[in-house]
Amino acid sequence: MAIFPLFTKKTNKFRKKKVSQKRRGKKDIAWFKAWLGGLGLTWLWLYFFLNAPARQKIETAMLNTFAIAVLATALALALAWGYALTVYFARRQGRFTEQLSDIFFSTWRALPQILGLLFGYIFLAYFQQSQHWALPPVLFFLALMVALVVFPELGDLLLERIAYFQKSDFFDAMRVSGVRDSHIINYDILFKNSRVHILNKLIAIFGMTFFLLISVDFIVSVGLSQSVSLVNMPKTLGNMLAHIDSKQDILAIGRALTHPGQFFSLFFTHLQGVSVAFIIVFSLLALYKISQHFSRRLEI
Amino acid sequence: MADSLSFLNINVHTDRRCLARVASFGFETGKITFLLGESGIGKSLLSKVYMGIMPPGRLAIEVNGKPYDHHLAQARRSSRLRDGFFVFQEPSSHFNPMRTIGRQLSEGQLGRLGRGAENTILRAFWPDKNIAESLLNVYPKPYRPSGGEKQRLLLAMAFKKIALYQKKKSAGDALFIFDEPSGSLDNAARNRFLDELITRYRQKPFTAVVITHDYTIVSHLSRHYAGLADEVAWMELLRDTEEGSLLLKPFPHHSFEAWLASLAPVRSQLDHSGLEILRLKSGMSIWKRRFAFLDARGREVDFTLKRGEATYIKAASGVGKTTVAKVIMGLLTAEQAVLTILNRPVPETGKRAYYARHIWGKQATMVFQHADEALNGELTVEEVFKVLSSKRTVNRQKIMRRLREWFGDRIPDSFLHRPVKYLSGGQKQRLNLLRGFVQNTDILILDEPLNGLDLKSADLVIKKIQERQRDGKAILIISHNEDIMEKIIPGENIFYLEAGSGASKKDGGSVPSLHAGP
Repeated sequence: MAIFPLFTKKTNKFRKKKVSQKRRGKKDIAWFKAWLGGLGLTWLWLYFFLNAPARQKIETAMLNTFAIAVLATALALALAWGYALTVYFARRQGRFTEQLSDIFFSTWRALPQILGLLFGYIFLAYFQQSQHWALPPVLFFLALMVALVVFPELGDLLLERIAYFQKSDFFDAMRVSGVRDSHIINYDILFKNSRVHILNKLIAIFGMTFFLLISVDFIVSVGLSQSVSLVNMPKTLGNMLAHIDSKQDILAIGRALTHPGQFFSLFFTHLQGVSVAFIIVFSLLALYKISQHFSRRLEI
Repeated sequence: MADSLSFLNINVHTDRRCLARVASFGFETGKITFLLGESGIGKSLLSKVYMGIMPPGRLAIEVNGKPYDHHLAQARRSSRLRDGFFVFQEPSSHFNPMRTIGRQLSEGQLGRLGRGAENTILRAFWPDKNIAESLLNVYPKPYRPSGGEKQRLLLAMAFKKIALYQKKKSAGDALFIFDEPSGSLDNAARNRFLDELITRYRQKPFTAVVITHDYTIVSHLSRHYAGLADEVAWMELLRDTEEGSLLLKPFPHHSFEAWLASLAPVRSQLDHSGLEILRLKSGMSIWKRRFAFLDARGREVDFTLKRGEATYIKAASGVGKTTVAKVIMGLLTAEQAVLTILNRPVPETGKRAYYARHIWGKQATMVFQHADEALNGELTVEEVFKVLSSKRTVNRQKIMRRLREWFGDRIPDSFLHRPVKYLSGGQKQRLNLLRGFVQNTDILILDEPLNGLDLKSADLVIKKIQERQRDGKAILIISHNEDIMEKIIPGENIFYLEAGSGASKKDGGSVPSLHAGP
């Protein structure tokens, strides 16, 4: 019998079907594009219909917020990696060091995330009063504050991955070949076998950071702290939303519900608050969808 | 004669690569076919497609040039599937935890077979009637039958279906496929399965396929069932030159027996050969079980390894051979163990640090039995060797030379960059073994080194083991391939392992008297 030809018409048809299925399956990428596209369209709208000073404020707030969120995510990864290694080696060392690390990290976790961030703002306000920091150190400090309260979640994932692979033979097989534990954990387990899981968690952490930052910024900016104001804090989407102009714009959305005739004016005369609210809500939704479809596609 | 209609042209590929492509795949009707070949080559995949039970999923499958759906519809209407049975390789997830095992053994068509006939089948697998009966009344959870018990239960189901088929007056073309039926069984249970298969076949012939990479089945059948030639077909699935292309060829089973007869022990001629390099005192205990080593006469002795010699630990499946190896390698901590390596006692405290500093990869190493788990599938072949050097570098020419010794001269240089996860089971096993061999340690522990290998590769591994012996290295082998190991290891180097309590659940609850010989 002749060897079956690989590239028949039917095979190609079948492959085309598979390719279209694959494209449909990459919803995370589609959402990522939709997110960037949505932000781009919003900027274009603002470019044409919002006055330049207000638009520049939104641009700065958005860039600052995303810069802090990206930096916080990167710092959270570094902290979580260190945390996972510390816990692993503390456990290996003996019961005393294991308990010591357990007590330390459990105490740290006991601090609610939002409270931790508020303390961070208090420290920042204190430093800002005595010496004025430039924008980059302030952004870094804020990112570090967020990273310090969110890293245990990522750290737990890394520890789970280590525990999972410790049960399989390859951990022991590499150890008896003289490979150091640190190499097996850092390279073979976390880098080679957990990248996708880590990336998925990082997307979630980015979303969480974004949300936390905006919430706390909003709370602080509406007046929980008298020593912190928009003058000495970097502009972010949270404090833009708390700004008096934005508040009026948000109230206008409520008014449009009872006066539908005013609905279209929202997109021309109340643009600052509406666009900030849209950027926040749309970004959170897009990040949630990206993370959800990413984990579904890769069956994590 | 072969039924030409039952031979199919099968092509299975993912959207990235061809998994298996075979021009003619099938089995002779009315015969028992033993389908041999290295692990992961595609025996199970092609057999599932052939029988029409392979879920298409993400695979693109074509049979005789037509889409798989066409073949699937035909297969579902045929008596090949309706009256036949497929015993899957991995029996772990086949039982419903909410129903007793006895009820599951009589589900659907299986319930039509009378109680008496069922008991006869069960007795073939559990000579002790009480054990079988108690097993029928339990739920799979929380009892959790062992892998061997589950495997035997599935085999019992298949034999019930065979009995039903044999009762029919007009025999159709029912097909019974046993995929690695001895994977979770020790040799005694495997032999009981083979005996039952041949006995039933001789009562009334049927078409059966036994997929296996256990070549020692050949010697068992020729020893106990001479004159099987007309009833049995030996086939081997081999790799063709092109990637993914396979050939189904008759396997010259006499060549296995000739090869087996040609095996003989070797001894190193070096001055220091025969010197003791490791001693583990008999009576080691772990998990509240006491492990004793017995010599061929049944006397309790300490376990020793000597330079230039290969040593074999023999025990029924599940007794704890791998556990002993892990204790020796410092991967498990025994409650009580007196162990000396290179005349230095292994310390009770700080064991991990001691092993990391002096033993692992320096004086001793171990090759684990499941290559799939023992290798990091995300690494490339080159990276597997890179991590062994402290500088994380590798001499590519040297490694290619070693790889060509183990994988044949035809492998291209690009083989170094192939991810381990894309290798076949047999290739993984060879890579797993090669990683152990390149470390050149004084002590080499091999856990089931012939697992998943075809005959050619098994021969290569035996030669490599004997080369190591000649170089004065000590080798400890754990294997269920008794026929082969007893040929290459002298009787004085065979240790019989016995466990104090709950030793051999898989074999029905008692430790067989191993030192009485097979």
